[in-house]
Amino acid sequence: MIFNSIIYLVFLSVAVFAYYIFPSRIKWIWLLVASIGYYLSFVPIFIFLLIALAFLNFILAKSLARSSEEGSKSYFILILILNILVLAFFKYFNILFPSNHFHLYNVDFFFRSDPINRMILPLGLSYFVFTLLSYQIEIKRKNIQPEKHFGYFSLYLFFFPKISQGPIERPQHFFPQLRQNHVFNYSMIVDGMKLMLWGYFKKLVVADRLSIYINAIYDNNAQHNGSSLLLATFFFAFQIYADFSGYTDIALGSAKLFGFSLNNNFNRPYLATSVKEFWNRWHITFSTWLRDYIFLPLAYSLSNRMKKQKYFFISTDKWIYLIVSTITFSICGIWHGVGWTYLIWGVLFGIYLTYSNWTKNFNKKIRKRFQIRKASPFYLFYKIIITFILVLFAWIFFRANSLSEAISIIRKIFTSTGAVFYQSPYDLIYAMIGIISLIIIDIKREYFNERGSILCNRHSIVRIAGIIIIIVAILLLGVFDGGQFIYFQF
Amino acid sequence: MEKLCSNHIARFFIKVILIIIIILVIDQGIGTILKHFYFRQKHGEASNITYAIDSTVADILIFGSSRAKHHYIPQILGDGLHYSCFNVGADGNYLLYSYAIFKTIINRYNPKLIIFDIRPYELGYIASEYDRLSLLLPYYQKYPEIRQAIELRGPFEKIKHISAIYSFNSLIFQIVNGNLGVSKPKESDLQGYTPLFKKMQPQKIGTWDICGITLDEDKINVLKDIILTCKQKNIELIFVHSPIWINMKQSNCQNIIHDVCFENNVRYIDLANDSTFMKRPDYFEDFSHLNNEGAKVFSNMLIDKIMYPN
Repeated sequence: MIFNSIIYLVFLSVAVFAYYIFPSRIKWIWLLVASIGYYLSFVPIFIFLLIALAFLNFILAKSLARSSEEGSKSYFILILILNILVLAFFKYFNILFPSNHFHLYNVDFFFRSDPINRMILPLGLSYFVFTLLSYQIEIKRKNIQPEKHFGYFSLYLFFFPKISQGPIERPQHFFPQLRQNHVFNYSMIVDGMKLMLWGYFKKLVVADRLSIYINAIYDNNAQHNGSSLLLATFFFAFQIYADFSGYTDIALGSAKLFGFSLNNNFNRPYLATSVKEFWNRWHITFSTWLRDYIFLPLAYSLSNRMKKQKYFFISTDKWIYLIVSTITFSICGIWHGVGWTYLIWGVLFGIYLTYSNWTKNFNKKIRKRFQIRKASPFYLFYKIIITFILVLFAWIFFRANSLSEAISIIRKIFTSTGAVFYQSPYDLIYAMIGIISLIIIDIKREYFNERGSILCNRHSIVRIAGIIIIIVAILLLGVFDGGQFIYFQF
Repeated sequence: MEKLCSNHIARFFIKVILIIIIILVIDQGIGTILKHFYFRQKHGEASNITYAIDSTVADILIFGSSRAKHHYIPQILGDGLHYSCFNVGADGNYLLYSYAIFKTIINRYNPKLIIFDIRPYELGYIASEYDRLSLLLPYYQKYPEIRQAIELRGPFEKIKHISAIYSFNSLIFQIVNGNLGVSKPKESDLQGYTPLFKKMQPQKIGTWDICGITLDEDKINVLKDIILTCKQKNIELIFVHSPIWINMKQSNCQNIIHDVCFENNVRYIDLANDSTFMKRPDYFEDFSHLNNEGAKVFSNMLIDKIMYPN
């Protein structure tokens, strides 16, 4: 029951309708039942694993909160090991033990298992475990008290709009909403529906359209020249953005229909003026998770242990930044999948960030020397383009099927020119329409007033016209045979 | 508070119903315009499909994918066999597509000979082949045979076709070009054949081993129905595996096609690895498609094979 299916829309309508009929005190039960029903529509066997994980964490969190400072450390380590081991087992088993075939599952939903019944990753396990870790770390830091109600705790983990691909919700943000009385809120529901509509546009009109070209080129990259590979990489940057942010919009919109407000994951990332800013705008709940639970604690710990002096003429702080950002982004890469491509993708971002950190003062001097204003539109435009190119380069590793393919693609991009391949010029026209509309909307939201947009206009006629235009555009230009969302596999 | 809430609910439902009505009206309006212009196209793939379904009365029909479309020259085949000939092949569409068109045409008239270009893995399950039936969406409402094929795509096709625009999804620029494009050669002159002119760089002949491919029950039934229908209507049927720059290993699918043809006394001409072509990379545009030069040689060779089976 993926979000871009008719059955999901039917399921959601029934779930919302019933939700507002049920009395407040049992609304959460209905939501939990609906969430488990949603999960069961994928690979049912994994529900037992997730329930077991939820129950264990629920118990362990209470013990963690009760225990003394010394005891809490061992509890905390035990909790971390338990959750990470479960995730690592499912995520990396096939790669670490390629000759072992677990004949556990005969089903192959969404192509996440190979035809010989290899181990498949339970849907949403990465997000589930990261949510659990977030909960436990916040308890360890004494920022929250453990949840006493197992039903609420389960709903925090299983809430269906977010279970498959996030956002990774922090307990402080989600639990208070569970205790609110959710009555029919007209503006929230309308906002939710508009958000979903825009999400469907991004997924069906932009992402799935671009995937046709990208798959044709990347899956046969040996046959294509550098121009086609460059265009496919450019398209991929927008495909993954439209796909994942489209999913997020549908998830956030679905949650709003129940009166829940989830954290946004995207904030126009390709308008970032630095790689650091890109990560503040891309997969936000994941990047802040990495920042708060890995980067900052690691940096703090290292700075306490290392003497404040220069090593090879470079200050300790800068060395710490290099080590910590490389480790954090390596984890980020490995989280997406095992393989050199993901690792290099992550490490590349570590290198980008370190370079930017180390050259901060030098850049300042250059700006001063040439009297370039930081807020100058030309300078901002230049920085946006440079950031985009760096991110684009990293996407090659993310999309390539292997490291050797990635290297060959890069080599071809720089050496093999020629005419761009296309099966039909219309494919490129449709793809460009999607990308251009996405860029225009993002620029408008970033630099101009949101209220002027067609979906948030103060005139209801314009708003309704906007809704109709998007629906007609989806019917006319959407790809209805597209598949799953890319981040399902992570 | 409760009254305010119920006011909001009423307002919400009124607006939703209003928007649905407006969308339905606009959808039907745009859909009707697109339909009008789609069937008026004089150029391009759509005009070929419409012509094949509605108008062709050729004695010989060629069915298949892009390999059919670019390999079989109707003029040569027609002259050689002394019949009129039309090529119904379509890029990126395979047995299910051909079957839908076949059933629609057969309902209208009986050709004398049908040539099916078939691939050895034709009966394997390939999900994308169902997606590609989208080429036939504009014909869904009008032709029950095509409706049947499109509904193989999934259980929601009927619901999706409530929208009149959906049938013309992703076709707007093709429709515009098909109505305005005047510079292109008239496809009707080539009777459905589209020549390719590039030459493949000499390269090592690859090998495909497609044994173990999952068979698609739908396709097996389709193949059997094509044979049965041709028998009932007294139409000569020939399956042909046209040249390919790949060494084909025997596969389950090929065996099944052979078996079905053998059981039903239907001819199967295998020219996939014919030595004439395997020595001449310049006859190919890529490993899977002959260029115009290769298509001429192949079409003449096919005439001999059809006329002199032994």
